[in-house]
Amino acid sequence: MNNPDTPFIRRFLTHHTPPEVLDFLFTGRHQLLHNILEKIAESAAGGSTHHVLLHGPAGIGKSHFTALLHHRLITDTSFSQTLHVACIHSSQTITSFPGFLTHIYRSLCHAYPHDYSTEWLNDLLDQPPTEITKILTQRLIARFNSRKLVILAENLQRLFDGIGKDGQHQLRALLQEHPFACLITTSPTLFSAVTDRREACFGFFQQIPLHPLTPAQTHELLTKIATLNHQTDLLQFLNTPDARDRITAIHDLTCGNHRTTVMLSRFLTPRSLDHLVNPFLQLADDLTPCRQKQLNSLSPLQQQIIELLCRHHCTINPTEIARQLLVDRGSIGKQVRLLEDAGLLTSMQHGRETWYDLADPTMRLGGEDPQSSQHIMLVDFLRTWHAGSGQHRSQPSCLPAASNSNSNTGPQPYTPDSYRDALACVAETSNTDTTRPPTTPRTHRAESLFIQQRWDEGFNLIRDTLTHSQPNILSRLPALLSMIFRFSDEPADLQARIQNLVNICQQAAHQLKRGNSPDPAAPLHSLGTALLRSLPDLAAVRFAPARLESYPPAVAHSATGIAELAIPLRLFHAGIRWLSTGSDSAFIRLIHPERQILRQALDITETPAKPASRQPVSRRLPKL
Amino acid sequence: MKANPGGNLDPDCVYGRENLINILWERLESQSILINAERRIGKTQILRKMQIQPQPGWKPLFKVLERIHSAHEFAELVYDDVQQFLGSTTRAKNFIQKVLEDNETDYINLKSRSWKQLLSAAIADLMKAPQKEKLVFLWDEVPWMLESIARNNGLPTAAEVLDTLRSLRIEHNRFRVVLTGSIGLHHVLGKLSAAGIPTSATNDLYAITVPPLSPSDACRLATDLLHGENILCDDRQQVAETIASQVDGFPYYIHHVVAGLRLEQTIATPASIRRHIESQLVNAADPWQLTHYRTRLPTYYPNPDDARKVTAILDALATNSTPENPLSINQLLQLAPPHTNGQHDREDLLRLLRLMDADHYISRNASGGFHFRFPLIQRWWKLERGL
Repeated sequence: MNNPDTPFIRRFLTHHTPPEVLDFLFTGRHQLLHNILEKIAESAAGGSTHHVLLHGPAGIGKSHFTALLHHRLITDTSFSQTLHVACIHSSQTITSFPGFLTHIYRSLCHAYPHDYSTEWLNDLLDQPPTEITKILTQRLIARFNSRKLVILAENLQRLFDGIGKDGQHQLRALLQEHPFACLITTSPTLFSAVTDRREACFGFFQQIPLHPLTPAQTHELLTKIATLNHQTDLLQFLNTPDARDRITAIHDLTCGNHRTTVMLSRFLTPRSLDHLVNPFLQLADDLTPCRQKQLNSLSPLQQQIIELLCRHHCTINPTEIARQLLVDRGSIGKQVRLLEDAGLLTSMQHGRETWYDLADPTMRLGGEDPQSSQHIMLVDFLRTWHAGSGQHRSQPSCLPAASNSNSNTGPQPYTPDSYRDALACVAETSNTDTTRPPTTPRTHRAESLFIQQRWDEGFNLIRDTLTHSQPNILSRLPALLSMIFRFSDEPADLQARIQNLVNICQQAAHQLKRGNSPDPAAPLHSLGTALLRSLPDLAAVRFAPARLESYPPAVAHSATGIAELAIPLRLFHAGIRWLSTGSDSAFIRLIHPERQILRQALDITETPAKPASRQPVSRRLPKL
Repeated sequence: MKANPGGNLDPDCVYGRENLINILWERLESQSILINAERRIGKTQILRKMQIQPQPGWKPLFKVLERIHSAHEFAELVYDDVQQFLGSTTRAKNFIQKVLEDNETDYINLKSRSWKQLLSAAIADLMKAPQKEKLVFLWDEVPWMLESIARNNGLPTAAEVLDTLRSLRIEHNRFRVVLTGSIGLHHVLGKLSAAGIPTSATNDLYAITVPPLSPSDACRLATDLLHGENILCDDRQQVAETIASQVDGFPYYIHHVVAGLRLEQTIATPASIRRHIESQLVNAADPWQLTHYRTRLPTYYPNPDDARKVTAILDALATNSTPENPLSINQLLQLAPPHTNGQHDREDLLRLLRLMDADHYISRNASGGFHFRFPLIQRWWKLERGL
């Protein structure tokens, strides 16, 4: 952090970060680096040359990868006699093919001053561009007769835009005729010059996607940063289950983006990591100048589209964008595609409609009123959603029907022990002898009372338990909610019982607030997560669609207006729609972190409406 | 050997092309060649292998012509290549000869002459000079060059380049070229014909199509790539056979699949290979750009009616034909009938089938039946069209 003894981790221009720091922080891509080094080794040794395009959105770690690759290539003695390395960084602007060649030569002059002459290059610049191309081409072919040239080029898309189609043809022709160079390139997206069969460089590069960090890798990276910064207290906290839960939430919000994770790490302490919202607000503030600069480089209409998506906590289609911005529908289509090409938007196809979302969900944190932003509420909700997930998984439900569920997040299969517990609970709650003190846990007794449809007694027990500061009953809310959904055949009963549960949670929240609890909204957050965690159970009992669809209005009747329940209510609604219709339209309006939550809640391995799959959703789902 | 989809291959890593290359060398003894093949099937690797491992007595000169934009640039390139091949002594001799023959006073500025003169002079020099080795030009991406010339110098000039090369081939019976390109030369000729400039500038060439690899060669390539990439397999031979058959022996896709397996870091089984390829075929991001087989139809068949009919023919072939059970013309007339009836329909269908054959969509077997040329594309077409 501010300690002069700790190395400075660059978030931009990564190649200026000391290589040993890059090496230490390198996470999750060692196999890929090894793979690329093997390809280069083969190119250096023989007649084959490999051309690679590593692609992934901004901040995914492309520059880190190429900087480390460069370091390995120039320090590995086995390569010193067989290859030279030239670099073109994303900060360099190239506008012609001769310009590209001069950049390569200049990079070689810089890296190998004894082998390449800057003076010769300066003299050459007096020639017309066609002569420069000719002479430099001949020079490079001659120089790399017995060794290979590795060109590490960042942002190939920008480079190809600069050299134009003509330059792309020249480059391809040169490397086909004289295969003296390997191109190891990066790009934020795949673009038509490399994906369109009509283009010169179609199929020319092996395209390798750079995947986001997994939650475990996010934990690994944050641990490495904390180690580098000598944050012993944070390191200790990072080893706790609570920290792992928070990091899963961070992962969902950063989409596993390396740069955002590194930037966020600056604001992490054991306390801030526990509360989570503040680091994200600080991150948003830190990113504001960079985002502003990025926005200013866009056309006014493109800026408006980004601002519109930042304001809206959902995906939007071009028709709605046009309506909101009071412009012609036709002019929006091209702009959103350009923004997608630039890596700022992502799209999902549903039927004939395309829906757009911000590629980086943290952009929504930079809104004018972040405190009231739904995205802040989402950060808060994610904190609760992932909190104690291990503990939740370890507690089996009392509901026999839950044994149908395969969910990792919902109730778990019944075990002989839990059957015994359940039977003991039922026996005890059925016993009319009030003089004998109960021996089974209150949480299980509440469920047992609900099973026997002794609703008032059950609610009283829950209220009483919370009043006596026994918050562990909150972890039973999914099972309790499931029973309400299952055993309330009449809509009026359902509504009243939900209202009862919401009231109990609200009262508990007020009580915590009065007691200056650090997390007064915990009962409401727990109710929100319980709503989503009840979904797998609802899927397992296979109610008719009409019955399923009656649940969201019943919940909305009681929960509308309670800020903490806004996001879970929205996701519950979408989840029910998905269960009842099997249509991926339920997911289409949700932003990326919300889709993640719902996917986890429903235990779906692949997000419906994901562009990568065309298999109908109904085939992947158990029939309801 | 590492999987290398798209990169340049060492000639020893180009598998299964020995017979084809031998045929090409044999043919070159008597005539020039036009290589016709689908993109990414390995034409360029064949030319490079010919250049690096030539037949004794031949000096191949491989050039990728996509960087050429004008007829003059092309003539200059040929001229420079010829002069370089002949060496300084012969060049001086030619120079004197030319001065004497043409009363040329400024040979140094020869390049400022018209492209046709320059091209003719270059080939004439080449033919007159005593040669230990015969020069053969291996010209890749010729259609792209012709399209550039058409754009910059006009369609008539593009046609003139082709005609001039043809007349040079006729005039100098030892002048040899191998022409090829990513897009079929017949499309350029079609454009010329549509513009009222019909040309038969390629009818003296021996036309040859590059097929996918034979099953045994494809399997050998897959086996060596699996070994080179250290892919764990439950049965390497079986996995290699599955890869080879699933991608119809396309070397590019074999490299692609093995490179993908390396990234996935899983144990390869025939079932996982099938899943991997299936995922490539249905992936909306279309990593193998197979959508091009559909989206290029309006470009290849500019008449909207033709494009619609070709789609109907492909639909019919996709669902009703296999290489073993192809569809006859009569069956196609029933399954994908053109607009009108009678003889006109049959002629129209035959015309389109000929074009589709040239565009590598379909093949015709010895009994005259038609089927998709590549089962991989047929499989994709069915998935894409929901057939």
